[in-house]
Amino acid sequence: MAVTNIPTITPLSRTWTHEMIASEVMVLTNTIDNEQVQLQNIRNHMNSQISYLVNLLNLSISPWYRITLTARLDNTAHASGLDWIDLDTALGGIIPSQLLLDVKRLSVSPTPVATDWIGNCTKVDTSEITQLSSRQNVQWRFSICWQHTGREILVYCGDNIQSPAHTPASPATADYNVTTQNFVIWGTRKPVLDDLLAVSLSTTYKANVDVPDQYIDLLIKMTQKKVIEQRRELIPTALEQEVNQGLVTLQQQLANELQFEAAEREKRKYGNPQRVPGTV
Amino acid sequence: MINISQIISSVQNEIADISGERIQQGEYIDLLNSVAREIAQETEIYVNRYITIPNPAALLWTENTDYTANQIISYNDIFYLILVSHTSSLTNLPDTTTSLYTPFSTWVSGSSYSTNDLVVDNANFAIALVDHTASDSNRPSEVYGSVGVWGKLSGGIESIFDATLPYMNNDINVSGYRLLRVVRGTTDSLKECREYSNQAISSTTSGNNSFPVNWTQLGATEFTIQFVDRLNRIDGGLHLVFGGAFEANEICVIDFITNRPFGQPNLGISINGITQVSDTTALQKWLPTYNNTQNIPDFLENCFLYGLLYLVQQRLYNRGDDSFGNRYVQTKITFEKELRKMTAYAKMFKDNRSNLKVQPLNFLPEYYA
Repeated sequence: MAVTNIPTITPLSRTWTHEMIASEVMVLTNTIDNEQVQLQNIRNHMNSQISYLVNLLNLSISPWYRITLTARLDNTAHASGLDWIDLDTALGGIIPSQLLLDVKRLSVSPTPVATDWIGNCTKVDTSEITQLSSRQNVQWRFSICWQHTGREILVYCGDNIQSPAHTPASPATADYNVTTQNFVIWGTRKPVLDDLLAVSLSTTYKANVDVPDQYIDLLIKMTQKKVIEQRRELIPTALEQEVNQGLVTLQQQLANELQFEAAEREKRKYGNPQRVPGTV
Repeated sequence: MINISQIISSVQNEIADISGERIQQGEYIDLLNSVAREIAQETEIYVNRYITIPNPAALLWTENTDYTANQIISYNDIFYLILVSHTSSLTNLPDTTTSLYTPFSTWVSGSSYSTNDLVVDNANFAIALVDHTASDSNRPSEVYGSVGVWGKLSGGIESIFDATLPYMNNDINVSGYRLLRVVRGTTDSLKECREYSNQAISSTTSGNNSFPVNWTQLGATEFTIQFVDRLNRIDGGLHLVFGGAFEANEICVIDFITNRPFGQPNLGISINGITQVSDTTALQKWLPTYNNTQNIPDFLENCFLYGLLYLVQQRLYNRGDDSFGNRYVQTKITFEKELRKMTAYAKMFKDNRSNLKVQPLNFLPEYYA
């Protein structure tokens, strides 16, 4: 069945279009003709820099590029005998595996009927999921586990769960049935880039850029730097510093966020740190 | 009553795992079942009742069976009287072989019955003695009104001395471990039964005096226990051998303590053609689901909670989470304290409010009281 729903993606910038950024870069680099640097070159630089920037943002727990896809388990079993969700089957012209950068979570939503399985699936290692598929460990008989490998999500459905790839030994043990339930894939996506088509034909060139507004200035500087590099000119020290500073700030911010989140998670798991009374 | 899902949810909150990713669903079930078994063995309050009909009036028809004349069998939900002794086979099926089988019709008020008509009325098999018009006052199930109108038939084998309590029957694990009370008879006249030694009962059934010293003879309400059936086969059943045979459709009610605390033991089997009640309430699924309503008595709540919490914390500790080391020990102490408290409570519950009397499993003094 594969992915059954991909939400419409709205670019993240409120005002900045690709066209406006290209114009801004042209102004900043004094590109008044197209003999050295063509518009296509600038658009290419912009695309590569958007990808780079968004990848950095995605490394953090920044929520901007998160996406949820709805999927059903495929009708036939995977070669490994497990259930799976094929990410290569296109839906509305979009191939999910090309859209997704990473899969963070997998959960199952109710239909609802009495045999629904509801909750988060547990992410396990490849060796764990293949061993679980032997069904020798009965403590996982009500569990659903997953692993993102290649262009598919492998899903293990416990022994008491009916699924397309697994029928419980007897009807009496089919406590759950996920065959018709929706799986929700919580992942991060790649940014929507400029399609580089001719200006009159392009649907993206005059549309908003898929980067939050607070990072547009950094994006312009990074593109500007690329244009200067292309022209084999010396990059102004100030520009280089500003770009580096921007990236350092961004990375610093990401590191802080990661640390904060990790601390929060620790606190939730283990409670507030216990100290000997009197210590500071 | 508290739902078991509340206890699981509570433990999930205690260990900060509301995402359900640290302890898996099946793990909760298995851990909770082991807590339940421990509680059951400590308290012995899980009393189960097993009802059986050792000598049913109508046996299920089976192939390659020797039938004697006047037995009653059931085939495709219709009762038949066996006319001639024979060995059954697929070539002489009851519904097609009128020379061997005559069917019983269901008694209907207002019908005209002729002499020798066969009817079944509320499990009473009867033959019409006179031509008459049926009315509620002379129906076969009327004890007095049917006299002279209907002759009662019994298809029972009338030589069954033992009732079988499935104990460890292949995949069906009843795991009963102490009999509390055994009664037999018809539903309106049940008699208490007592346990005696193998020697006394075997002496009785062989026609000798039960107790050579005083010529006392035991009766139908005395039994002994053995693990083999009439043919000396170990079939996983606990066989109660009585001093007297079971009459047709006579029931035997066995109350016993089990270590299966959730619901009735799984008796989803058929004995002598009588389907036993199956267990539908054992703790199997993780909750919440829409339809699982597994409840436990209120006074067991803390015991279950701390028992489960202790096992869960111990498991997390064993997986390398050092922060649970101290905690699981503390929880274990609390659990054991709760267990003692509850055992004492359950003892009072049994001693003061229950009329069930525990009988020794093996021997009573060999005299007839």
